[in-house]
Amino acid sequence: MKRKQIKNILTYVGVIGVLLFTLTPIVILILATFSTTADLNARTLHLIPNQLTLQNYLNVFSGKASDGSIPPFLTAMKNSLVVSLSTTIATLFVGVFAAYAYARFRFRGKDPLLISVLGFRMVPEIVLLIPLYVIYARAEMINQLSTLIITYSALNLPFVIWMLQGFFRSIPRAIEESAFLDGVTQLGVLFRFVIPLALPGIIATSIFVFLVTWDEFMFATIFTSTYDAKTITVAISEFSKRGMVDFGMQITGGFLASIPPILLALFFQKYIISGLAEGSDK
Amino acid sequence: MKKIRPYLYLVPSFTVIFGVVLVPILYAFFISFIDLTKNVNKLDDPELWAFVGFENFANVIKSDFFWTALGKTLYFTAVSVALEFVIGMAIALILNEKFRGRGIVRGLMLIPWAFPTIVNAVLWKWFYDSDHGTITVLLAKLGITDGYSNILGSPVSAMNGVILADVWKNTAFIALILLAALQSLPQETYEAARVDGAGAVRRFFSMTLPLLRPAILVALVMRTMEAFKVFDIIYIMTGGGPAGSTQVLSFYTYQTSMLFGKFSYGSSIALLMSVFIMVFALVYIKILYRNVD
Amino acid sequence: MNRRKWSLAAAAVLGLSVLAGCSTGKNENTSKENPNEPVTVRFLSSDDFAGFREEAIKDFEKKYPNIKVQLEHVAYDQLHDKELASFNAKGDGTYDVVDVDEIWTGEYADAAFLQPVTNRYTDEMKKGILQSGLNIVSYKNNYYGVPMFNDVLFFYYNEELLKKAGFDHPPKTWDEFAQMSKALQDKKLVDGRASSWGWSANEGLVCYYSEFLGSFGGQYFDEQGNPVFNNDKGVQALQYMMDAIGKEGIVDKGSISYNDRQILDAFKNGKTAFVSGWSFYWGEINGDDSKVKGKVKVALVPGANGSQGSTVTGSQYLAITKQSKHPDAAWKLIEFLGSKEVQKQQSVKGGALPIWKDLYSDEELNKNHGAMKDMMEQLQHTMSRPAMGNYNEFSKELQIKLQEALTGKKTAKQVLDEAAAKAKELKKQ
Repeated sequence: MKRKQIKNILTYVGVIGVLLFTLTPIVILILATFSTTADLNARTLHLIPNQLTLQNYLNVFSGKASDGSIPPFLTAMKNSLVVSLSTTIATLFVGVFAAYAYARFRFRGKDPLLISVLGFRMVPEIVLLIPLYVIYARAEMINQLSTLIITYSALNLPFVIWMLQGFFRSIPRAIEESAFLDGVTQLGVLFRFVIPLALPGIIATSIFVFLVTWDEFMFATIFTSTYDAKTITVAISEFSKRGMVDFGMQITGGFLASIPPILLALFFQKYIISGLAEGSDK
Repeated sequence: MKKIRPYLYLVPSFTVIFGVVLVPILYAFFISFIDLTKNVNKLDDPELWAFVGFENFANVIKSDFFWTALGKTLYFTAVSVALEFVIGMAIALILNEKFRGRGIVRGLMLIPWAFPTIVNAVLWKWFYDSDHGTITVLLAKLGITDGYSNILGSPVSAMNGVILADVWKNTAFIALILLAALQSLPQETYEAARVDGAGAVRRFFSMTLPLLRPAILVALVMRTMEAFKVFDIIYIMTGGGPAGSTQVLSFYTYQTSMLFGKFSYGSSIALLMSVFIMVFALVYIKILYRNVD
Repeated sequence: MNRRKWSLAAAAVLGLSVLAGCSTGKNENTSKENPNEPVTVRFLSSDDFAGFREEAIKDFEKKYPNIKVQLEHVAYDQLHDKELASFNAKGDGTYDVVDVDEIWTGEYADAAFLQPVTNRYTDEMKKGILQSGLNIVSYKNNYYGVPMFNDVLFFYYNEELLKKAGFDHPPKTWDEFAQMSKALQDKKLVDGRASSWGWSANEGLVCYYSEFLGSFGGQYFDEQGNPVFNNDKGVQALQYMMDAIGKEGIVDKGSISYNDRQILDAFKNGKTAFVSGWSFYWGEINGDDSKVKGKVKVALVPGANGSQGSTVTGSQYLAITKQSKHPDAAWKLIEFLGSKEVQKQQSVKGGALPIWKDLYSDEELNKNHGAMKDMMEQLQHTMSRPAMGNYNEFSKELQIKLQEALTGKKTAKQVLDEAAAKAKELKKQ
């Protein structure tokens, strides 16, 4: 009994440690977004602002900085949403077929193909940056969201195929076989039986793709130059590289940009962990 | 039909992957074998290509910059992944215990992982500000530093400062994978061990660690490869400085290509960098491949 | 299925375009523009004077209702990368007008990224614009643009703080600068150190080093083109910077990670007493949100070794890109922003020094620009950063080397010798 109590106390101490490690920077960040410039520049730990203000939020949305305008925040958010959602949907849609083929079919060249695809994925993005830049620049594909979507889709597909085929494998074959006996077509089986059964895994995979895409910066900064095409990471980097834009504005923009991925992660937390548990088993 | 069907299913994915990954890789080799600088319009005229063979690669290997950058990249990778692994393992073990509010804590633990890298970099740059950064002030108040220090302004501390920022964000990823793996461990074996009187520490080293081995490998190799390619956080926090102390390979390549306009030279660095990644990749593929069948 | 087809098609296009060497020809549109047809001019500018430029463009659009200007600006430190990326692009990724730093002229002109505008220059421009301005846009017998201001690193000081410390004049030598800084710090008149500098690994660091190099009587290259900045004077200049941030403790330690824009904030808030910066500082210092409005003056950069303090030039100009399909409209915009009228407003509102000779004796301007006279005097004592086609590589190397010394990793002589060796190597290429 006593031993259990000690263990309990240790667990809670550990939990508090985890929370402190995880949340301290976030809490300071959130408080900073409501702080005045004077508080932000004060030589303190920035734990409690003297005065709360919404000025930083107003500045972000007005798009006006002391030295002229900054990339419009809402446009950048919208671009990131369009790119991340489209990439997620596109990779999932295309990847489902390939993953199913890997999970269920036997065919020549199966293994070499998979290995080569996963192998290509290992090549650092910076290798692709220069040739893609040259190709896109000359094919008039710069500043188009579709260019980013295609690029990100290609980069995420190997991961998606690998994850999904794991989930598909874990579905008992018997279900599909009885459906075939009922005369359901191959596509029908895939869409009506396999995909619904693998849905938790598919959701987990989608979240991964969305977060990775939302986070991407290197390609976005080279492949976009107009305000109409810049994604949120590029916009934030331009907030922060500027000398005189106040920090409150940068951090507030950054906080707002973090909300969509964080909400997704929190909301689908269970799927992500269980999806990974299942996926890593296969 | 049956014979063709698998290939039909694969065609869309593979077309995209080959188009956006394989073709550019081949193109990168092409660019590395010519001299492409500043203006890329010379690609229009094959007579201007002027193949230079392995000259670009040779120049990279001869340059001190490359080896220095490689050293810095390896340091960044080794230290950040090691820290992330140790802290991530601790977090995963704690969150695998039963306690009130476990679901919420597990959710909160994911926040840093979902936090965009760019925003993380901006935030930590502020923490390190030499005039009023939270960490600067904290270190001075605790007497660890003599007065306010400029963490990102000193060659020694700048790299470690960046590593810490990276660790905060990416530890969650390792914790996530390990936690997922811990949950799928067979509980019965544990009960049996406990009945046998095995202590917590012994259970961890003799049972948990071996059982987690596949997950640990996946987490480590994935993070190692990501860390080796580090770019965004350097770009925002230090821009390679001070005194080139955070000049990692990706950033060096970027600068060579996009600032100096030496596309061929940059391409060569990137391809050589891939050689090192391939070493990690071989391990990775081996693990994944074993899991496929 | 649409998306699948679409991605297939796109991938195919990609592959084909590579195989075909991606050639669609690059004939620049030289056909006559119809002046009445509405056109959009895309303009990439740095942040400096961005506020003023936005206003001026509104006036321009009123004057030329058929021309719409799409202005985008980025931080100076990103400007070159963005421009280089856009010069190789087609379609959407291109600009008509770009903002060019004087040090990039050789690089851009050699790569044929800009359209020469020699034939568009009027006699009035050739005669009326300051020679220093014409110099920065000239390359191999051509003009490549119109300078937008005549800029150097000026030495600003907070007169009020100096008076409180008992000084009735600005420092004349760097020794005096050190004494005054210490006095200001001892009397707690400044918040921490007396000055903050932009010595992070950016172009700004090279500019500041040039300022010291010139002030100590040194130069980058001798007449034969051999690097000489590693001689005694160059070493002394760097040693002064090292001591200032190191053992003398008169320069903010954070300087190592600030660029040449970020230090303005501390000065504007009265935390520091000196700042060395560009002409747009003047407008910012006297802006409504500035705590030191009306308290700041411009002095000559201090000297050393008995030589008159010198400073570094850093002017920028606007140029028409090779890709522009509306060069006539683009020129109209450049001409407008460079016109006497707009230049005068820019001086009054933004603090910049105009490009026209006769504006310097303009009474109204002198009345409205408190530092005009002092700034003009500084223009007599300047040096430029070295002109070389691969300047950026030299600059990056020098930045790293300077920081190695400033952070105490190596001695001044060591790093300058290394940088000089690199400079020799780059010159050979």
